Amino acid sequence: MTSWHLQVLRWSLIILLITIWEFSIKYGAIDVYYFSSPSLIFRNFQFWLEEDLIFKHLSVTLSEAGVGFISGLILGITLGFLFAANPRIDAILQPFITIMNAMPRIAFAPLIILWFGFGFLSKVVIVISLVFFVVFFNTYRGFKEINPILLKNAAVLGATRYQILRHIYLPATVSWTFASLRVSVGFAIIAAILGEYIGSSAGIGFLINNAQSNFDATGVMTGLALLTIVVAILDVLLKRIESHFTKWQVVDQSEESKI
Amino acid sequence: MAEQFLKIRNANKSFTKEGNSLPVLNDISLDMYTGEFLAILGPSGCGKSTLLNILAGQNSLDDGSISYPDKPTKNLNDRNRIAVVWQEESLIPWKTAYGNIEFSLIATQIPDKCREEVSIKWLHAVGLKGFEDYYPSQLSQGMRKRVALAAALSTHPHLLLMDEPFGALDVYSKLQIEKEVVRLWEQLDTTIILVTHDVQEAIALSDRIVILTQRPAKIKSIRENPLPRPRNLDALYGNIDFHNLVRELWVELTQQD
Repeated sequence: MTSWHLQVLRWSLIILLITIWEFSIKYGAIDVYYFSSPSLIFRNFQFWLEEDLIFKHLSVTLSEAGVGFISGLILGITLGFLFAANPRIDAILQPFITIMNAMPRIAFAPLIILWFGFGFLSKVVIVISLVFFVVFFNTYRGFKEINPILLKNAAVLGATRYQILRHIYLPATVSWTFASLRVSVGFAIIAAILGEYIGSSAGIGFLINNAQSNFDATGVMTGLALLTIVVAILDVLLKRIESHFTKWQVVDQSEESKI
Repeated sequence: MAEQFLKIRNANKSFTKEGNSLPVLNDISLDMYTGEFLAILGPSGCGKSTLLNILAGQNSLDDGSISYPDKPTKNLNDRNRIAVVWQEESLIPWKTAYGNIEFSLIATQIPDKCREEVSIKWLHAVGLKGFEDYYPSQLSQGMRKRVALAAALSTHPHLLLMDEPFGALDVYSKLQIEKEVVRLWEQLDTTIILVTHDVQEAIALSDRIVILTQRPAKIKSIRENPLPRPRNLDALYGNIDFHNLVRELWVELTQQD
């Protein structure tokens, strides 16, 4: 099956499901009050566009996720590197990090809102708390999984510490970090939306929550559809970045182009 | 044979494991000559690799000495460039075949301007023309060994150590790369120590063969290799002298005192 055929089949499936949904509403098979309908969602979407709600709220959510993601990334890489390179720090603090990671951090979100308020900052902190651990553990793992023979060989040849850092430690670590990029960006969006659910005055999460409290299924669905589209676009972009940084690995991006 | 290159005297080494001392090398004394191809043959686990690690400067002797009579400096790294072809996969997975060779030149502090030319030259020398941009994961095991060999030789080492380098290869790939080693070594003045448990390989490649005992490794005997140079390995494997020698050394290797 060529990739073109596959695409056609996938889109047909989506259109089929939407059509079934629309007609089920039309002929009363399911209740529009609870499930809304594709045409209502589309109209609501137009309404939000006209009222300039989409750009306003989307930019809030994305900047919360973006700022939190970048901060979590920098923090995760730095600490991951530091922990992996210093056995003593590692030995003392590793159990704490593991416990903190095991804790359901989402449950801390209300507390974070309490500490940092209803605004931008609290969402960023929630995002960081999720992204940091993904990046931290991947960076740490990348460092620890370096084949010891590579280090030994470099040492025998006479490589300096800087050369070993630059040609072995850094690329090994960064490639693991980038391999986890898609997961952590997904987490960032989830965390921002979640923060907005709990307490906020702007953002897509706020819009969805608002619609929900007005028993407006169409509003909730419009928000969800919008998020799905945004995340899908981000995912395609990130897949490109990821495959650029991991092209040396056994399963590379050519897998898809081979189909 | 020419001047003396390396002198090992009364080398002893043991490892401590759970409070018990495990002797690995037992009073090893050995001389090597410049440009020689020496094979160290011993049963698996006898301490060959330990000896190689010590020669590579990655481990130290408990007592005894290793000296390079030609170059009386103190620091081992100052005197000699050493390169190793390891038993394990030693290529950097995120660097291409070219990048791996270039890295060994960077690590040996070879100046930037000749790196590209040297890397390409060695990639071609091991028969991998056109594979410059391939990553190790895209190459076969035999090709990866070739890249590792090219990376080691490109630094123009005084001493090349090989630790059962081709043990994991299939018979055909192994013969091909062995031929490459013989051909390249015959053109170079590099001194090579090949550590192996493979009797045929030791005889096919070397000038002299040191046979070690079971752990703790002692030198059991040292044999001059009577086979002439230059050698044609394809012809060698059909040669009756070769097979007699293999049989003799095989008996010696497996004999327990």
